[in-house]
Amino acid sequence: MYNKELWGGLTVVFAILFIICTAGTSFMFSWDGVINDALGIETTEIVSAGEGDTSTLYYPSEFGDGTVSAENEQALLAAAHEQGYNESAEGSVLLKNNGALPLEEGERKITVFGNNATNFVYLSSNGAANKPGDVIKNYASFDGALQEEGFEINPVLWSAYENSGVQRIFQDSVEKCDIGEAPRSLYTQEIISSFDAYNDAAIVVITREAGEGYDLYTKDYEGISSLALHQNERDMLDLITESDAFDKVIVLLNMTNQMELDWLEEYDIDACLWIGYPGQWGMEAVADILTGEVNPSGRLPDTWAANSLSAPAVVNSGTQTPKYANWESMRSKIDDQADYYSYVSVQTENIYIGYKYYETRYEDLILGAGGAGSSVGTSFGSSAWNYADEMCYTFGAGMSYTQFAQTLDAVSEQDGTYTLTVTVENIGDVPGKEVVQVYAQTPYGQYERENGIEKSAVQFVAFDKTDMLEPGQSQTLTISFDEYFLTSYDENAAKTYILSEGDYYIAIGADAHDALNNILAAKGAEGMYDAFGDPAAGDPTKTYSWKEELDTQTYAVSRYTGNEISNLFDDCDINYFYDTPIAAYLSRADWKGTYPTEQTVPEATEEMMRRLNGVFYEKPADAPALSEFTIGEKSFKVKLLDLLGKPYDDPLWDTYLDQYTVGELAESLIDAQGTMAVDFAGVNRGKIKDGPTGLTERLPFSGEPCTCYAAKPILTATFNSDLYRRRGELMGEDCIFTKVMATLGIGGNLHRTPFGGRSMDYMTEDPNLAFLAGKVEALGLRSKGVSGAIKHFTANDQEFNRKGLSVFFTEQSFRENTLRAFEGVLTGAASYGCMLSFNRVGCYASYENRALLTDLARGEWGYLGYFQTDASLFYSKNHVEILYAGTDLFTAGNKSIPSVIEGAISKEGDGFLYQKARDAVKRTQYCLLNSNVINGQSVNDEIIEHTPWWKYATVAACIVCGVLCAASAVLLVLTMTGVLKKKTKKETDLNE
Amino acid sequence: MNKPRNIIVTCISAASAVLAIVPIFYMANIGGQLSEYPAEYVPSIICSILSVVAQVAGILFAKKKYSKILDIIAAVLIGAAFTLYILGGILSLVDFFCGIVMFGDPQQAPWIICFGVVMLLSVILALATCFLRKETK
Repeated sequence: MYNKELWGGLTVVFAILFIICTAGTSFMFSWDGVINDALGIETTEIVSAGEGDTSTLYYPSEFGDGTVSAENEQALLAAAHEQGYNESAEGSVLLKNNGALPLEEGERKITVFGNNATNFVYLSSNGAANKPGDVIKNYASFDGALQEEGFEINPVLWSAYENSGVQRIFQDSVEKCDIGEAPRSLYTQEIISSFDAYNDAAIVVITREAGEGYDLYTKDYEGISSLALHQNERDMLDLITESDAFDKVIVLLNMTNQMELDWLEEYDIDACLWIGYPGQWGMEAVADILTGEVNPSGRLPDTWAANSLSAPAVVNSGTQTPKYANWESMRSKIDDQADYYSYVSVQTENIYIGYKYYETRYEDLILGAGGAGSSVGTSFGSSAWNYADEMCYTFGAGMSYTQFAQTLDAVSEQDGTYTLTVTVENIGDVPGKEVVQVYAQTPYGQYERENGIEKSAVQFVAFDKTDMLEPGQSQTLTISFDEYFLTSYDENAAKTYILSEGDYYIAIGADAHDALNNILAAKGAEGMYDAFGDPAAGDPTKTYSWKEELDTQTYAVSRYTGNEISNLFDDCDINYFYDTPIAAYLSRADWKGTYPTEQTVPEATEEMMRRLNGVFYEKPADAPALSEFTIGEKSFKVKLLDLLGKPYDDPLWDTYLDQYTVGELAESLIDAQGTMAVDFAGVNRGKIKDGPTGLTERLPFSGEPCTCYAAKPILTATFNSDLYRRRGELMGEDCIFTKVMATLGIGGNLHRTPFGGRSMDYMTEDPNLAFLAGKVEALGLRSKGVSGAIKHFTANDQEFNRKGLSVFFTEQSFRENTLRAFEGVLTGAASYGCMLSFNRVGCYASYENRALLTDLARGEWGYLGYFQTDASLFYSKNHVEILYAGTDLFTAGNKSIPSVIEGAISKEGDGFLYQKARDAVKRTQYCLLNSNVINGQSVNDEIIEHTPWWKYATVAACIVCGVLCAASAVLLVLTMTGVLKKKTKKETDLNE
Repeated sequence: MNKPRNIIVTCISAASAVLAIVPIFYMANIGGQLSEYPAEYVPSIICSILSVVAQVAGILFAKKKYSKILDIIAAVLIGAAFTLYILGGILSLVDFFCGIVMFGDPQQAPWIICFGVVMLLSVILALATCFLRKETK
C-alpha cells in the first residue's frame, strides 16, 4: 500500500496496456470492415418491409428449391467435387506414352519416387486460396487417391521420404531455395531391396513450386534454371535405371510452370503426365488416368521448351529484371521511400512469347527468311538455330490412350465470323475425347515490314472438344471465330487495327506446330519436321486459305462502343523518351539483329521521373464548381433497388447520386474485403473475395471451406468450354451461399515466360485462349449474380520486383497479347469487376493510368464495372491521381483515404474530381445491384447497421486500463510525496 | 546503501536501453535496406529514442529523489514504441501468416518478429526497473 515501487510498476503496466488498447482500438476501427469479415460478423441487416416476398430471389441457387439451405449446400459440395474431378480428368496432359499407360489391372504394386510426393503440391502454399491440407481437411491426397484405386505403395521408401527432413523451399533467397528432392544418400540398401516387391511401376513425382511473390529462378542454387532437372533428381533417376527393378517408369509433373523435359528421352521414361496442381479432388482423376478408367484429353496451354532460357522474353523478366541505370539518383525526384520505381522491364521480345516465337522462327527457318537459322538464341552450343533442338512440347500438344482422325470439311465466312466444320473420328481402341484446335496465319508482307508490324506464323483462334467418342464413332463439330482475331495493330502507319493484304490461312492441327506444318504444306514448302526432328509432311487438306486487301477502316472503330481506335500507349515504348532509340524490339525481319541477348537497362529521363512520381493531377480550367451539383439531397429518397433493371445511363442514377454528400461518396471508395453499406440508400455491403482456384470463404451451414479447384492452367488445358463455364457457375454458387458480390476468380495475365510465380493463377501463354476461356468462366459467374473480377490488370507477368515495376512494350504487343487476354472478361458485360496490378504500364502505375482505365477499358471496350487497386501497402499515396485515372475502389484501404479525397474535392471546390467520385461509386454500386447480394431485398426494405461486439469490448478495455492507470498514478504520487506513508511505531504509539 | 541492488537496477536499465537501440537502427534503415518502410515507423523511432534518453537519465540521476519518474517515463515510452512498432508491421504479419500479399509485405515479417522480440525484452526489462527499489542516499 505504501510501496512506491509497486505503484510505479503498476502505473507503467496500466499505462502500457492503455496505450496498447487505445492505439489498437484506433487501428481496429480504421480496419473494421476487414476485422468484421475475419470474425464472420455481419454488420448489416435487411429489415423487411413486407412479408415473405418470394420475388426477391433474383439469383436463386440451382440446387433444390433455390434457397440457401443446408441441404442445398450439400448438393453444391457434391457438384463441386465432380467439377474438381473433371478438371483434372480432362486437364491433365499426357505428354509421352510408349504404351506404359494405362497400367494393367494387375499392375498395382508401385514404388513412388520423389520426396515431394510426401509433400505434394495441391496448390501453391503462397497464394489466396483454401488450400488442401491446410484449411481444407477433406481432400483427395496423393497417396490416398492411389490407394483408393487399389495401388499398393512401397512403404519403405514412402516412410523414408516422410522422415527425410528434406524440405522444399521457394519463399526465400536464391541461395536458400531448394526443390526439395532427397539426396542419393537417402536410398539405403534396405530401401533398394524393397523395390522388388513393388516393381510394377516406378511412379516418379517431379515438383516445382512457385507462388504469389515468388517466381522461379533463371539461375538457382545449383547454377541452373529452376526448371532444369537438378542433381538430386538426376541421382534418383539414375538409381531407378541402375536398379533395373521396374517394368515401367512413369513421371508425374506436379507443377504449373513449364519444365525442361529433354531428360524424358535421356532417361528413357516410359510415360509422362502433367498433372499441375490438382486442387482438392484432382488426384482422384489422376489415379483414374493411371488405371485407364479415365482417358486423358488435356492439351498444353503453354510451350514447354527444351531450354527455358531460350525464350526471348526471359532476358528482361523475373529474376533478371534490372533497375534503371540511374535509379539511385532518381530518389531525389520521386517521393517513394520504398524505391517502388527502380525496376524496369522492357519487353523487347515484342509479340513473340511462347509458341509465337518458336513457331514463327521455325517457319522462317523452313522458308529461309529473316536469318532465322542464325546461332543467336540457340541452346546447347548449336551453331545454327534448329526447332527440334529448342522444343520439347509446343502449345496444344497432348496425347490420348486412343487415336483420332480430324477432317476439315468446310469453312465459311459471314459478317466477320468464320465457321469451320470439322469431323473427328475415334480410330483407336478405347473411348476418348478429342480437342479440335484452330490456328490462323495472316500475311507478313512489305507493308508489315515497312511499318514494323509483327506477325506470328500461327496464332490460336478457336477450339472445341468432342463428346466421349466410342471406337469407330465420329462427331462433326461446328467452330466459329471472329475476324477480329485476324487483325493486327499497326501502331506506326494506320495507328489502329488493320487487316493485312495478302494470303490468309486457317488450319486445324494436333498442336501449334502441326497446324503450322499443315499451312507450310499448303504453301508448298518442303523440309518440315516435328519437335523430335522427324520429317513431317504436313497436310494441306487441313487448311483453308483466301486473299484480303489491306483494310485500315473496318477495325478502326471499336466493335464494342463505336469509338474511334487510335494509339493510346505511345509512351509505353521506351524509345518514346529518347531522341535515339535505346531498345530494339524483336522482329522476324531480322532475327539475328533483334533477338534480345542482353538486358535493356534504360536511364530514366527527367520526363520519365516526373511520370514515375505520379503527382500530375491539376484541376482542369473548365472544371465545374461544386455548387453546380446537387449534393446530399436526402429528400429524394431514391434507393439503390429503385434502379434495378434500369440501364447504366438511366437519369435516375444521377438523382440517386445527388443524395450523397461528398464525404459519403468518398467513404464508398473503400474496399475493406467488400464495399461499404449505405443505410439511407438501402445499400448492403458487397463482399469481394479471392481467389482464382476457389472462393476463400466457408460455407454457412457445414462450415466447410469452399472447394479448391485445380490450378488455372489445368482448367485451361481441358479446352472444354463447358468446364470453364461450370467452374464459373459453381464458384458463383459459392458466392450465393456466402453473399459475395465479386470474386478475384480469374487470372488474366499471360505466362510470358516459364518462370512466372503466378502461373498457377493465370491461364495460358496465349491471349486468344485467355480471351475465350476467361469470358466463358466470367459468364458462368455472371449467371449467378457474381462478377469475376479478373486480375491483375495488367502487364503483371512476373512476381519478383512487381511493385512499381515499369513495363515497356510496343503497342502492338500490348494490344494483341497482354490486353487481349483481359478483353474477353471486360467486354460484353461479362463482368463488372477488375483488380489492378502493382506494376506500371509504361511510367504510370496501372491504377494511375488514365489511358488504360478510362480511354481503353471504358472508351474502347465499353467496360461498365469498377476497377480496384491491389493490396493496400503497395499503391501510391497519390489518391487523387488514382481516382482521376479511373480507379474506383481502394483495396484494403483504411479510413484516411476518404478524408484525403473529400479534402481535395472540398478544398478546391473541384467539380471535376467530384464527378469522378460519383462515377466511381456508380460503377461499384452497379456491380452490387447486378449481384446476388440483393437476394432477399426489396426496394422498401431497410438496411440497418449494427455495431460489432468487439468495438464495445475494445472501448471498454481502454476505459478500464485508463482508470487503473490513473488510480495507480495517483497512489504513486501520494506515496512519493509522503502524503500516503506507512506510520512508524512512534507515530502509532503517539496516536494511541 | 544497498549497492548490489542499485547495480542490478542500473544494469537492467542499461540492458533495456541497449535493446531499445537495436530496433531503432533497424527501423531507421541504417546500414542497409532491411526495412523498406521507415516512414511507418517514425513515431516508434521517436518513442524509442526518448525512452533511451530517459533510461540513461534515470541511471545518471539514480540518486535523485524523483529518479523513479524517469524510469516510469522510460518504460511507458518503450511500451508505446513497441505498440506502434507492432501496429506498423501487423499488416505484414497478417499476410505472412495467411500466405497472401494483400495488406502488407509478408517478406518483412521475419524482421518484424525478430526485432519485435528484442523490443518486447526491452519493455519487460524497463518494466522490471520500475518494480525494483533504488537507494537514493
